[in-house]
Amino acid sequence: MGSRDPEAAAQEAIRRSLAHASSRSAVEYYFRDPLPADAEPPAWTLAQLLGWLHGVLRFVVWEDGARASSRRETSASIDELIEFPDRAPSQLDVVIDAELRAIVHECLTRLSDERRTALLLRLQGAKYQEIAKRLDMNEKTVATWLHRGTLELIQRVRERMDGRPGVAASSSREAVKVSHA
Amino acid sequence: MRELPVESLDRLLAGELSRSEERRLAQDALSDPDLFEALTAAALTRTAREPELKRRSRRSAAVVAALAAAAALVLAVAYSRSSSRPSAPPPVSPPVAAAPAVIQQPLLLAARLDVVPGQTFRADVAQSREPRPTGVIVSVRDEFADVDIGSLDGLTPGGALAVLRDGRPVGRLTMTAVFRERARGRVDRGAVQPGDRVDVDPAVHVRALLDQAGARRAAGDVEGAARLLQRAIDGFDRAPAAAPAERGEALNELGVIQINRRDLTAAERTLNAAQSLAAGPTRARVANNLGAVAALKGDRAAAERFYRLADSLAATDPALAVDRQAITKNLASLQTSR
Repeated sequence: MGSRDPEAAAQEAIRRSLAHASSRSAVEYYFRDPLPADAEPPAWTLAQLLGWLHGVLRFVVWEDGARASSRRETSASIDELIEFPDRAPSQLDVVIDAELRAIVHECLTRLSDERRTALLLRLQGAKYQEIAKRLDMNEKTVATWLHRGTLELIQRVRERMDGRPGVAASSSREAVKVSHA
Repeated sequence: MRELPVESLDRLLAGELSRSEERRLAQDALSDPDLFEALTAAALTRTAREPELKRRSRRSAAVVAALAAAAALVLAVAYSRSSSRPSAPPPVSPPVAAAPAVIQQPLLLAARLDVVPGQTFRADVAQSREPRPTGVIVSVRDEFADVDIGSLDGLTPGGALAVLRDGRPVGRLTMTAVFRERARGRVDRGAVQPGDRVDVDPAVHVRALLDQAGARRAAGDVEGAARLLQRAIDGFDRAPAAAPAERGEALNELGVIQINRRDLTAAERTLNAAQSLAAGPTRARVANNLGAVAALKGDRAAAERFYRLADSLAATDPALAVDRQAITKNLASLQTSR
């Protein structure tokens, strides 16, 4: 990454998120403790907020890298820049860019057929009973596939994400904690 | 390290957690790095799958909207409100056989009405350039080439671009990284050089046009949406890979815009074309919209026939509950205006 350390980048990501109306209300609702009595549930789900934080963090790191390169008057390596999305106007599309989708897709394809099929149905909001019916399987078997599939998928996505400098989720966690300390 | 709450993660992936349950999970994660990382991974999975979920659950999104009593009305009004009158006077509708009593604006149906403002974060789409069918290679390094088109033009990682020089194919790129208006691809075949032209697959280009048409309409730029829809419809001729059903859906959307402009002749022509291509839910919507055209022309008998056809088509699809409410209202409106 650029000149900034991961914690500083995470702080910056949180600062920007608190400056943005939608993410601010979500950050405050999910992470503030105690929750103010008059706090309303936010429009964003927790998944949206975490996806947002992760994306903003990546963008901050990218900006830093680009700025550092510019200061040194050397051209930024496209290979570095290519890791991060540019300033597209669709913010969630920026945050969850096509590359990330490809990673998730790849992680899904590495699951066994049963786990993947069950998980894809679950991701569409299907209930266990419905999945069992559609796959013509026992509900307990489906539950086992989903239990193991969920853990395996999360583990695979984490492994892929951890390979990226400065974007470890722990950085955003620390920043969130500090922001509400 | 604590054991991960798999049940909660599973329900997060399925979108089943309430906000308060999500808050409890988030609070737990603050003191558990492992859980925070797992949550982030689950969140990224969920959000990364979101576009596909949105596409697949268009109908279910409409069903959710049905929770509001006047959802169908709201959907229709969304179209009416976003319609801007053309600067030129609207074409005069053909004379009607019998002067109609007051016919209210019928409720119009189209697939892309379930864009909920605030859930997507579009900037001013009017500032976006329109999707381009071709681009140019701007640089080549090792086995990679950078091009001046990107996701705005429908490119996605893994997609292919044909490279041409003087109109002749000289190679092919497989996209490895795609940004809004630029992308990089690996040279799979041939020797490419800066200045070579790259062609977007016609089916990809058509979908990019449809996507931007939807975004413009959602932003209130109905004229821009109509222009892009027309370009997409024209582009289908060069895109054999695109499904006829998509063309039917695009024609239906254009027909709705034309009705709102009161260009009933054009709307009828467009919707008739849509009818022959439409599949699934679009068939019911096209029939309803043809009924609306007939109603606005004062041909009640034809309007009733189309509405009843739409109703029978919608009756077989539970996901069309909201659409059916609109059709029922249109039928009732015909009765009351007699």
